[in-house]
Amino acid sequence: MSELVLAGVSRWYGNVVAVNDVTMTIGPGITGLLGPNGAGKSTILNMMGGFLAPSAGAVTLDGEVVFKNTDIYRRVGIVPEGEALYDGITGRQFVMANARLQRLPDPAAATAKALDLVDMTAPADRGLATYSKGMKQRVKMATALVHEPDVLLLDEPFNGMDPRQRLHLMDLLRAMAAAGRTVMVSSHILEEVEQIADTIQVLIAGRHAASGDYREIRRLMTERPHQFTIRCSDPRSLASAVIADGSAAGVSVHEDGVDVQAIDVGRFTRLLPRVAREHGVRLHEVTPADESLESVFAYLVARR
Amino acid sequence: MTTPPSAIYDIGYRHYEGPRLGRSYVWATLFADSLRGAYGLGRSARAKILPWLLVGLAVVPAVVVALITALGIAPEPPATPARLIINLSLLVLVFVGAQAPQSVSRDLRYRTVSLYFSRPLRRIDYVSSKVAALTVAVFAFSTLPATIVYLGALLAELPVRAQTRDWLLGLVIAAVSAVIYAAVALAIAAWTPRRGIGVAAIVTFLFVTSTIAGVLQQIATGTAATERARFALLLSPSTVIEGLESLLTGTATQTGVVSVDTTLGLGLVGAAFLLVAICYTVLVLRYRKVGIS
Amino acid sequence: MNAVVARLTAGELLGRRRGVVLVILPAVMLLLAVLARSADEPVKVTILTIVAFSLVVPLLGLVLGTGAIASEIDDGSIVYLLAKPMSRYAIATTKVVVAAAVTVALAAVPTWAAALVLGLSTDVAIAFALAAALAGICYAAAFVLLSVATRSAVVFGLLYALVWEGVVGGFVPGARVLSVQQWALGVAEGVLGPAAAADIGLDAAVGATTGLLLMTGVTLGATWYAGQLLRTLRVTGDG
Repeated sequence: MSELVLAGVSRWYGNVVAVNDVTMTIGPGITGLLGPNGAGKSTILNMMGGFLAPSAGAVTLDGEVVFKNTDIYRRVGIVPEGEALYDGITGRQFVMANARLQRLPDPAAATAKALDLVDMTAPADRGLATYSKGMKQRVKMATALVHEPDVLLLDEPFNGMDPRQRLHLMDLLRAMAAAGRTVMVSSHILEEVEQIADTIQVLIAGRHAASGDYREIRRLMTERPHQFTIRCSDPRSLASAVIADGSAAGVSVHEDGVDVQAIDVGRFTRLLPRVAREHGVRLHEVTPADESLESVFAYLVARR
Repeated sequence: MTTPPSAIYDIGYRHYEGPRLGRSYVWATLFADSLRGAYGLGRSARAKILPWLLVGLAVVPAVVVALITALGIAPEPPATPARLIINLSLLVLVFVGAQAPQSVSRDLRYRTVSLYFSRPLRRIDYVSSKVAALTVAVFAFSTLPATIVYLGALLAELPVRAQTRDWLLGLVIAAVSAVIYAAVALAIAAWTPRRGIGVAAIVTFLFVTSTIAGVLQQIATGTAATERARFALLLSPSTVIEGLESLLTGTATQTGVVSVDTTLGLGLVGAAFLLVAICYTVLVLRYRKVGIS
Repeated sequence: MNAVVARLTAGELLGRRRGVVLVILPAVMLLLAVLARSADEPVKVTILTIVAFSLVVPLLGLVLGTGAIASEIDDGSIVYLLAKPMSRYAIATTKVVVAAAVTVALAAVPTWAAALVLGLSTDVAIAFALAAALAGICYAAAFVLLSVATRSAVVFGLLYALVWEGVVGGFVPGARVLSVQQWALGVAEGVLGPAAAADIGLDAAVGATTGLLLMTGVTLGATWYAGQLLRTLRVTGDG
């Protein structure tokens, strides 16, 4: 169980502030680091990886400062974004080299295990130059997993993967999180992060804009009415009842249902079943229409 | 609130049917952009360091020569414009070696070449504008020291006609060396998307060939084979230029090989043409096979 | 010093395409040696000095020193070495050692062979080979450092190797003291002894001990500083 803590971390280059007073704790489970391009994600990743010193604040792993500390790499695995790998050697040799550099007692066994985990045992003895993008990505994962680290930092890991590989990687990451490891995924592909991340950390223009479970963040965004789509047997009665109550900012009626913009979600959710029963309206489906990571994100980006 | 009906809004994107500027405009734009890029203009500050450093290094000896002439320290200019350009050939070599990759390697590395060719820009236009731009850039680079020396001579009130003749010869040599160096450098640089490798390859090629030619001249001069020594001039772009300078000005070459006679002169001119033709062909062929990835 | 890093670096340096190109320079040197057999001795020595010390050794040192680390830094694959519990000094040292070893193999040995082909005495051949080896090691270390320090290492390295060593170092008296070429030739002079050196017209700008000390200092200092810089090397992303 490892925790990566950023305490009041800032990083500036001359007059340009890349990261502005960010405080966050990355614990066990999968955390998604989100943000538009240029938001400071790669700066934060570099700082977490111990390659860059914060201009202010501290980045620590279980209490130890990570900058210029080569020991942390026994516990941290890094999957970089870039596609570049060494030419002229096979996948197995590459993972083996990484295993040896990690001073593992049995590099061959660790290599075999890591390759098996990423489903690359079959093509492992072909040259790296012959691999497709997705295969290279999986080999990179293998190099980061070979020493069974407590912390995994992944930079855009789903880049270039086909759907099957992506699902496989998601399962792998979920398994690691379930085993108590700390996994951090930096991405700007919301759909993928939505599916695996327990917590998200949103960075916008260098600032820490939000953190936590995205559904709860959505609930905190009270200025924006929540959209609900309700399919029911008697739209008109339901609509008039909802309007009469006043917990909705707007209601629109369709042939088979009602779209409600609720200001007070708590009140509305208690209201709805009561009103439906009173007016004898049968509810077929109640869906929160905009409780997606995408809408949360869009709101956060626009709001700053 | 009712959801509005579906519609497509006119936000100003319009299909353009009017007159378009022609192929020559495209060529001129690419030419201007490449020329400016050779001196780091229109690029980041770091890209300006090397070319202007080299310009500075080239100007210093020219100013020294001009001062010596103007102040009357020596009765004659210690170096004619043409000869100065030959002496500065190492700097010209580094300039062209560093700036040719600046021109073409970036497009190859970031795969923007396919973007160029999906516009109304023919491959021959791309090649010719890049070559022309680098040629002009190298020409300007060589002309500056030559002109400084000329001004120094004018200030010393030396006979105007003779000095102007020397200066014009200098310009001719500048032009010839620009054409040759630019062609060779681009032909080499266009084969690799990595700037560092391009620079190393160009400079190594030019330097190694000129050293080989120089060494062979030395060897032959030492023995009685002075005749054959002169033909070593044909072996490298730099020495071909040297030989051409000697042919035009009628003086001995830098390494002391006495005057270039007609046969050798013809050989040099022929070699120059052949070299440039080969380089242009190589360049055009190279850009034949450009794809999207 | 780390065996895995060494193996990876050697693989990068001697990969097929690059390996072919690297052999060209010593091959050219040997070819010129064959052609120069008929020249007078002072000419031979000048030729060997120019070709070996102004051309082959610095260029090979440059190509190998930058090749050992520059492309890894440039495309970001250096992260695989940095994200390991391994001292940065170990990485720098290994890279320098590998680059230096290949430089010695491809520059010093052919220099020795070229000297013999030219018909110079074995003493002279050994002295020059030793000087070439020392200069090669020094260049390798310096260019590894340059590659870590700046992305335009090749260009600046070329400016040094050609403009400084080739021209300024040869002609401007004061600057000759600052040239690796002269330090190496000083050692050659010392090995041959003053009489033999004067015989073949060898006159370096510094003495043997000074040259040796300077080369050792530069080699060790450059390796150490490269390790220092690696500790704060940023592995870039683009988000």
